[in-house]
Amino acid sequence: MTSKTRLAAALGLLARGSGALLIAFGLAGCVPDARLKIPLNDVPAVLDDGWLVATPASQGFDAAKLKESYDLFFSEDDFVTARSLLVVRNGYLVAEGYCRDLDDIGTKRAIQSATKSVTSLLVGIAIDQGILDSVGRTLYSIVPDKFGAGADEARRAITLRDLLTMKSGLDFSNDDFTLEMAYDVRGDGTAHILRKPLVHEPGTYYNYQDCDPHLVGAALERLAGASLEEFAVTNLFGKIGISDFIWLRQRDGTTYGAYGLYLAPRNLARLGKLVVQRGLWDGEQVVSSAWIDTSTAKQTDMDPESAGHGFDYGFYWWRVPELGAFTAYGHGGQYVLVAPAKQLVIVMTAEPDTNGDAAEIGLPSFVDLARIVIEAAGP
Amino acid sequence: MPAAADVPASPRETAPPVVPDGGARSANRIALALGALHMALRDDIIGPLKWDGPGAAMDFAYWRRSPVSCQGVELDLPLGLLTNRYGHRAGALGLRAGYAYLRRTAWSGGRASTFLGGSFGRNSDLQLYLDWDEEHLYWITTYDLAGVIQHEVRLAKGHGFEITLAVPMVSLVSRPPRSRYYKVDDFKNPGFYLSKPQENMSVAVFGELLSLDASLSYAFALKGSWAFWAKYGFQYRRYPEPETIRMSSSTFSLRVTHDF
Repeated sequence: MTSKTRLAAALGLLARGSGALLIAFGLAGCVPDARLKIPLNDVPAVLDDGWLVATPASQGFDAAKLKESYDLFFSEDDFVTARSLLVVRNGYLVAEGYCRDLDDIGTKRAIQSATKSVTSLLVGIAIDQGILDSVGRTLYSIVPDKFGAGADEARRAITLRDLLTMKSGLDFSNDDFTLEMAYDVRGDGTAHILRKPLVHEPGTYYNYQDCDPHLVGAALERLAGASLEEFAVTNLFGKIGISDFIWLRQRDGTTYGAYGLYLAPRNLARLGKLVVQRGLWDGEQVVSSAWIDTSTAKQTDMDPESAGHGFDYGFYWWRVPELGAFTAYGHGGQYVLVAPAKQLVIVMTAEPDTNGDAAEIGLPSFVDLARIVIEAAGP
Repeated sequence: MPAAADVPASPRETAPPVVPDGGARSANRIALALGALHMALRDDIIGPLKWDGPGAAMDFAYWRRSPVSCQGVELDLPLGLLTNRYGHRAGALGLRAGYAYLRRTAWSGGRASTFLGGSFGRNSDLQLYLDWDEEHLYWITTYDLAGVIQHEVRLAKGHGFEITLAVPMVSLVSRPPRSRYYKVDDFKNPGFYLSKPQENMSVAVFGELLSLDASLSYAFALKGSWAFWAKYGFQYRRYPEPETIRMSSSTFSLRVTHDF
């Protein structure tokens, strides 16, 4: 038998055996797929954690309409990476659902860039306490040692307002920031940021970058004489009942002002409750109402894509004029939406790390869900 | 797995039997295989979703056979591109290397031979889930002591079938911690991907680690001391810690061997 005839015989045998091979490939089915989400739950648990629980109807909700939002939230086809949805009205927790794991009620997860809104609150507290006179103060006047000897005038003119509106003019892409700061920067991280090229005159060009709130954090640490985390514990978290959290620091010890805060959903809701109450918590003005109003008012236009969706920006708060609301927003789908006119807070958390941006619960998707909740809240 | 499937043929025959007729003489064999595969896995650390998709595999082997035994080493490098039902993507990379030693049993004779033996191998399967600015690494790595049985049937001169089954009995297993990995690396340190999947080894016996590696091969001799093989291989692994991982792969490969 020649090689050719052997090959022909072999191919014939393989052809006859192809059916068996298809069956064999089908053995991959022994790895089963399954539902992603658990059965719908939306009734808040009564725990000894300071939260007052009420029924939706008692707080003016159309309960059936509100349930529509939870039906959507628990859908297998929508909000795929979501984990929790909480609704607070008039200070009461009226709905609370965990679509992946009931244990999420006590699980801290990264709130990603929603951390920036906490940094914003801390700026307000610093102003309230008089350790910061105004957001018009230059960064150079606070941390001159972080600027190199040859720092140009334009760079020295960067103000906290510029940083709070993402207009430092520095060029430090978010594509690089996280890993560069976490792995590459061995020395002073703040000085490292300030060595980046200044590509726009400060205050003139909106560019959403993590480096700006990191500089705000560094400035607050210098002003307070404490880490941002310590300042938050003393002046914010400790006053509103948040004791269980993680806040990451850069290698040089500076707390990340842009992200790095890990909170459980109910603690995230405490921040929303504080803001919807215009800084008041159990009779104490934790943050001035003036700062709440200022920081959540429109301070700048955004990039064309965000503006195209009807959003604009306060001091690290995303504004949704269509809903009469503003929200903290962290990558993946971490939201604390506040609708002051309705005394309403909506908290959503999701997988903090998404598999491609297509999997992120973006702000437009969240707004669609929030709209249902707000409509359920009635006039 | 270090498939003990490669059965040396005599290099002295112009049309050597791929499946030998009793192993009358010693021989060495080297082999190179390329294949297409379908891989599926579900790691409950990440979620209850199945990730599956196509891939490719490359396999190198060296075997030596005496009249009563055969032994060899093999390196298998599978690569898969996986998606879940939402279209999210992941990459899977395997590194499987091992040594096997088999003895010809007394049940052998005529056109059929049966071998029994054992193997020791490292089976590491990495999954990389690509996120917006980072990747997450998950894995199952095992060092297995496995029992191996192999049965060969010689159909005609230069043609034959071979079936092999290997089942790990005792293993060292490494799995990631239960929590999701966060910004583990940025492909900047290749050593990370070798060292990380070796951490927190624990002992598992058959049943805790449920694993098998099976193959069915058809072989025929080419000119001289060359031979051609068509092989279907199936691998399944299931391990419950810290959350259950299940994975399977089906590979159809074409292999060329050379005896010397």
